[in-house]
Amino acid sequence: MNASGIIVVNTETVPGKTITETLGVVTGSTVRAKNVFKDIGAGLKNVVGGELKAYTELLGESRDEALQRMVAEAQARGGNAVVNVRFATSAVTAGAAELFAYGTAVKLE
Amino acid sequence: MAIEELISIIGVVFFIVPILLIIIAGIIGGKIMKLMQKKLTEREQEIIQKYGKDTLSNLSMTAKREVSETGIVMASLVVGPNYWQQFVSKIQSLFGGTLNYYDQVIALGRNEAMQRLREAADTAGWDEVVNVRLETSKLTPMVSKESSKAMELFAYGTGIRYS
Repeated sequence: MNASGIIVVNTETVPGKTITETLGVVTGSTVRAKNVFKDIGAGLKNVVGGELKAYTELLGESRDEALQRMVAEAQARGGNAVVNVRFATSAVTAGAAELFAYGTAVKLE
Repeated sequence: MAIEELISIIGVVFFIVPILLIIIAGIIGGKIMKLMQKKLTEREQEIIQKYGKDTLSNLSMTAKREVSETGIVMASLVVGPNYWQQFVSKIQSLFGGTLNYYDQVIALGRNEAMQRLREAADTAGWDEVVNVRLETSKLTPMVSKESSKAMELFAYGTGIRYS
């Protein structure tokens, strides 16, 4: 459970609770790019390999934002949970990534 | 005369620098991977000792016990093979077959992502993580013209707290 009080799970049902109504698919997405200096830094790190922390951070932040947008949509529809959440990532253009989250907004009793 | 010398120096530098980078990557990169692997094994042991089992599962529900709370858990990281690994893999791909280095990098990255998921669940106070999904995606940084070798390994699941 997050700050808004909406339960987000990626299972089909919320364990221990009953779904009374489904409110349709809710989505949230964000396209983000890191600045060019961090790109160069990551490029240099790529010489020796290992984790590229700048990108890990970028994608983590963006995914949180996508999830928040999805939750906001569910809230606007009057749901109090989002079930069966899935994530997708796509590289839309050089230097940017789209993070996408979707799920079904539901009402729990 | 001076200009010709300059051009030849630049030519030599452009020839030597990539080779140097590949050699440096071969020496340092191998150590970095070994260090990552060592730390990862230690952390995995810590979690197993704390809970007595692996906390992740990709079943939709495990034990039939009373659940008090649920919520989503996510963890990810971006890894890339180093220049030496890329160089060797490029040659290997001419002949086909297994690209050992890519195998190793992806396997290490995925295990690290799963370990981060276990740790994220541990910090959030979940007893178990069910319905775990793993995803891999490619990244394209702005600076490199050819397709990037960096990939993101992402793990997510539903955290469960038993009452």
